[in-house]
Amino acid sequence: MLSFIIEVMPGQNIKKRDKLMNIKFLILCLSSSQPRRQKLIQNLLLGKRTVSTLFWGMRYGLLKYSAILKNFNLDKMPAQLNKLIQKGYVEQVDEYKYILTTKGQKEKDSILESFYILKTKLNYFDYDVITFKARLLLAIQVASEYSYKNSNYYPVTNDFKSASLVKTWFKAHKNALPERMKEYLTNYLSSIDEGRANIFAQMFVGYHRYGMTNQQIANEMDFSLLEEYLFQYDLLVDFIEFIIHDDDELLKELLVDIKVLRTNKHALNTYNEFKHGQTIQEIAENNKLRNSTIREHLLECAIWMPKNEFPYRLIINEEKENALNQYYQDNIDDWQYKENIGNQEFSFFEFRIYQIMRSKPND
Amino acid sequence: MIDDISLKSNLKKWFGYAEFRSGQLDVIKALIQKEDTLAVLPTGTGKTLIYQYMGKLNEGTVIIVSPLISLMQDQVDRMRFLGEKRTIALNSSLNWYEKKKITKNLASYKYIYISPEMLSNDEILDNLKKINISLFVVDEAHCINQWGPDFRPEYLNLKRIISFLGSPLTLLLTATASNEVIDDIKNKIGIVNLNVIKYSANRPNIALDVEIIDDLNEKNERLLSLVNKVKKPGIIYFSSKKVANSVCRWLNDQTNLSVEAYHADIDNDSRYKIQHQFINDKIDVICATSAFGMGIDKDNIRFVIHYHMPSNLESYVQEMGRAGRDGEQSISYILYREKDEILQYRFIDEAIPTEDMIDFFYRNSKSLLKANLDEKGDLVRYYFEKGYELDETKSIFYNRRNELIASLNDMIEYVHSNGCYRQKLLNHFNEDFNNHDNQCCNGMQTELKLDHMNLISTNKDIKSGEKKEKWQNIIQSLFSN
Repeated sequence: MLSFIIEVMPGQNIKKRDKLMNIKFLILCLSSSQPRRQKLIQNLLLGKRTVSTLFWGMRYGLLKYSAILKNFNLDKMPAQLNKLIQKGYVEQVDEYKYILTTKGQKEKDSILESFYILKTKLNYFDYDVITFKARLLLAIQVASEYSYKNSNYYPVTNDFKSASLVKTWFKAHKNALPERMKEYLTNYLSSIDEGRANIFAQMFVGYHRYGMTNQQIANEMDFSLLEEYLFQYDLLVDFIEFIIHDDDELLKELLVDIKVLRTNKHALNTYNEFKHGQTIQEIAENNKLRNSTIREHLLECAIWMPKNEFPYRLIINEEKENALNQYYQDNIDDWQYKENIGNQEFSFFEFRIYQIMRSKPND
Repeated sequence: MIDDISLKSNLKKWFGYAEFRSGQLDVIKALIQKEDTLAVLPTGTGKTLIYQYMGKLNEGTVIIVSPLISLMQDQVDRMRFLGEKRTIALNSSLNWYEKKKITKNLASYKYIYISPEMLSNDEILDNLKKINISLFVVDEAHCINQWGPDFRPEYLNLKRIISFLGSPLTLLLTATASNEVIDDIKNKIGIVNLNVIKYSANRPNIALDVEIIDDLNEKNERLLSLVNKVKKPGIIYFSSKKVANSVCRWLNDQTNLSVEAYHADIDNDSRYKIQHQFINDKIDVICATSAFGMGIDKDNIRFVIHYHMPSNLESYVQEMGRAGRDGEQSISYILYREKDEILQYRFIDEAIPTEDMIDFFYRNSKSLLKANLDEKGDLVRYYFEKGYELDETKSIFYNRRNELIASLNDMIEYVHSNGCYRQKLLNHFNEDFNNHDNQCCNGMQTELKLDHMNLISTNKDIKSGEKKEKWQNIIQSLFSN
């Protein structure tokens, strides 16, 4: 056991459980049939939203992980990848792309058995779970201390915005707050799986209760910190959705800026105008934007939306689609853009839109 | 003039204490006499109480300049906890809107903590000038000392700022200052007739133990045996977060103690939870990095172990001084392994801008002046903006590096010294000490006996840590019926 620490000393090999777990997650992000770009995966997890990042994120089947790790430091990823190469789990395909070896795929299969996989489905929204958690813990603490008539305590969160938001909330609901809060939490916790409810409640802070840290919860569940975070993410998203749909409005005010659209509102605006018949040129002129920006908006929306919600037909008519269908048959990842197919001319934009369309499952 | 008796009755009324701690009363009396004061008080004296007391005594606002942004919010929380709800921190962690909102209402706050950077902001200064400042406090005043390890260039502006604010009553606070540093502070702050109150840096209830250990295995074995044997709670200090994490995990595996890591990588709510679990005796041992302080006082810490020695004696005094604030017998260990200082030398290299960086900044100053820079870049920019020539800036950093290395060498020399460690330590702060005894330190062939000092752990002091409960019980306990 002592040798474990020796490895940690500077200048020697560094062994660290959390990083080891991140390596597992990195394996999960790679594939044995599709060469993938490490940098792109990293950018996707950190929340980069360029069309290219989103497009390939979709192609990799990792789109739902967009911005999921935006609060984490992923600088070590290239080094972790090298370690996977050394171990024979990964091979480099070209300058940027990597693929799992047979050994790597076996490892991936076994990781899939044990690693916590994010349950939240792909949707249009980013959830700021970290801010929400800070507000929730503070709200519970405030209500709890108030129920014991204690006004001298250290607030669990001192982020200015969240603190003033909870303060306003407290003033508005002061009356019968402890009872209502108790009822609200009981309602929710009894509606979910008992095991998850127990873990959720361990986080709470209040009168003579200090709550478990992320690491303590991770230890309790035999999770890495990353899995514990993904678990919490699912838990908190579920609770946010509960608050949104519940008839009791008590906690709704805590949700300001917590659930936000992944596409920016300009892109949605473009999408609506385009769907109602305006051309790219018209939209660009009306909004004083460049045509290329409008095209990017449309690509972004196509990537995020289910197939039936996006007006592909307005970009690629039947004739064009037939030509494309005949020409492009093999693996979508490998398609090369071609200007003339049959007797039709194609722009790169049309090519990409078609690629997205073909990537989507039929609804 | 208020006499000692009424000063004490205020103490009882406002804070619930019957007696002042050593030094507090002298400083408060000097301030009541309107004397600008430099107070050199050892760690654990309760310096906050002094300005809090003055705030209660007088109308107006107390401004506290504090260099440690990571600690500032903790200080604010603590003041609020103590009932001072009109307390705020002004530092770079605020966004534009928050800063605006607070700046407009400065007069409504009783205690304003402010970072030196923020204090150099003209708009904030103009607003501060308009309010009634009852006391201007400079915390960690030794940061003004250019030769010291904690030097903060912005502290050099304080002289100008104090005079701009109309020379309010000023209190400079520090825990560690040699005579040269005191002279330097007096000189740089430019207050004529600055009253100096200096108390010994000695903490007689903390025994000092220094051990030179050959290899890492031996160090870890020694650590494990100490952690098991010595009365808890305790803190182990590390220079590296990675090592703090792995030793923490290892100790959790090897002992039945509750051990937690605490450093800058810990997320906010976990930080809160660890602090409060520790304060409330649910954690036995904290594995911390030196760079990251605890905002809340815990007065029954029995041991501080330096797994890595600190980079200078000032930090050492500060960190080991977390032990025994309740006055009970406590102990400080330094576990030193030959070449441990390599890490510290590396930190110095990482903290000081290289000649190439300085050259680069001066060549590209136009584009870099407004850029977002790292700490080193900020430092170079500071000197550039102050009009220093390239060569001057280079020589400042050259000297600075030498100063940090000299401070580190003092630390190394301390670890290797023969004779009484306490004497060596206090000599560094220009104090004499000749009362070595068998509870002083392990120098002079003295063997420190834990049992004689009542520092042997019993099963009773071991905490169970946070235990998992059913959610129904948690909800029940959170809300009183």
